[in-house]
Amino acid sequence: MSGSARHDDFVALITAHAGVVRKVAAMYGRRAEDRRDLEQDIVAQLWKAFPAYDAARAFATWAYRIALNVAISAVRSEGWRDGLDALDAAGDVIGDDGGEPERDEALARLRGFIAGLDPLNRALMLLYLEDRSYREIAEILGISETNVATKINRAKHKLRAQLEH
Amino acid sequence: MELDALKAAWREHERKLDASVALNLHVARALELDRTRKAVRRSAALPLFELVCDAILVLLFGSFVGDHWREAAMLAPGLALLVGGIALVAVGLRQLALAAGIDYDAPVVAIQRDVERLAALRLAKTRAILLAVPLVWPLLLIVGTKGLLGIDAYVAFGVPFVAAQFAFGVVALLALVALGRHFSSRAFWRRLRNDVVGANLAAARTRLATIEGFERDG
Repeated sequence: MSGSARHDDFVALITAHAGVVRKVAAMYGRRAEDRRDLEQDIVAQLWKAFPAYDAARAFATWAYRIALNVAISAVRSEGWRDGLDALDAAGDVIGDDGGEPERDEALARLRGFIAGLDPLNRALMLLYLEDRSYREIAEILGISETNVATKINRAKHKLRAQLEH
Repeated sequence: MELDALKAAWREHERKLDASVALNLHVARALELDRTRKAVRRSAALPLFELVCDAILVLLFGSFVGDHWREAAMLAPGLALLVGGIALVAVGLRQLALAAGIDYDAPVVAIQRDVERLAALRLAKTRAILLAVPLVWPLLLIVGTKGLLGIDAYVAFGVPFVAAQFAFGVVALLALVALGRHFSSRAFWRRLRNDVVGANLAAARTRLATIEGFERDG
């Protein structure tokens, strides 16, 4: 494939899956500046890795894997105080869209719950909430499907307990 | 709220967020492009004015060279100024061509590459002019006094004086660089120093290399 064709393919795919980059950056970057940096780092890493991308596989799966690797590495190496701030900011983007107060409150508590998780479990929750299959989550995170199921069950119990209080 | 309902609410929220971000990106891109277009147009006004001035200088220096074709002492500084003037005209034309050739329908990376090339050319020209000014001064003294007043600077001021002007040019150039470094904490001097030593140009080239690297077949 020529450089230009590959570039066009990459731009088309990254545009169609821009949500992946945004969601991962919003999940891990505390400040707006961190999130912007993280988005740039993720896109740069995706571009670097693109020659190795197998078009037979789902782009979102591949992109999530790389994006989460970049984000988790950044959180660990740069010692960001990631957490509530990032998720609160992400939740504020839409603001009051006339939704139900009960739902909004539950979403706010869900964000609080996720913010309290360690980076890997946060990735797990992100993928679970995105309705990714256990198989796909396992492939992205590099753990077994059984492990995914166990961790998600554990997280669901904790979350249910937190929401009930 | 049940977990499944919460999951659905999360996905709905994310879907709205994606739509909002996509719309914002579209608006921001349009606004940014419009700002870039206006900035480039504004930046093209000065090169156009400079081009007209440079073209007039080329005509004047050309005329001077034609008039003093057989006088080596006049021909040499006249030719040096003529060559410099022609180079400035060429750079000015290149700047205008680059500014006019920017395709705003192209991908953002392509636009950034063209804008960065324009900036690099502008910085290279500024740097060359700043470095040349102290050395051009004695040439202008010789050509100007002869061309405008009909006075031979070598005779009127003496050869040692003219030679001293060249020496002064070299010293002034060194002093400009040294002063720039000394007062580098002040914004004006920092900008001037960066232009003279080429730090801005180096930064523009690095950005350009990054943009081109992004587009290039890796």
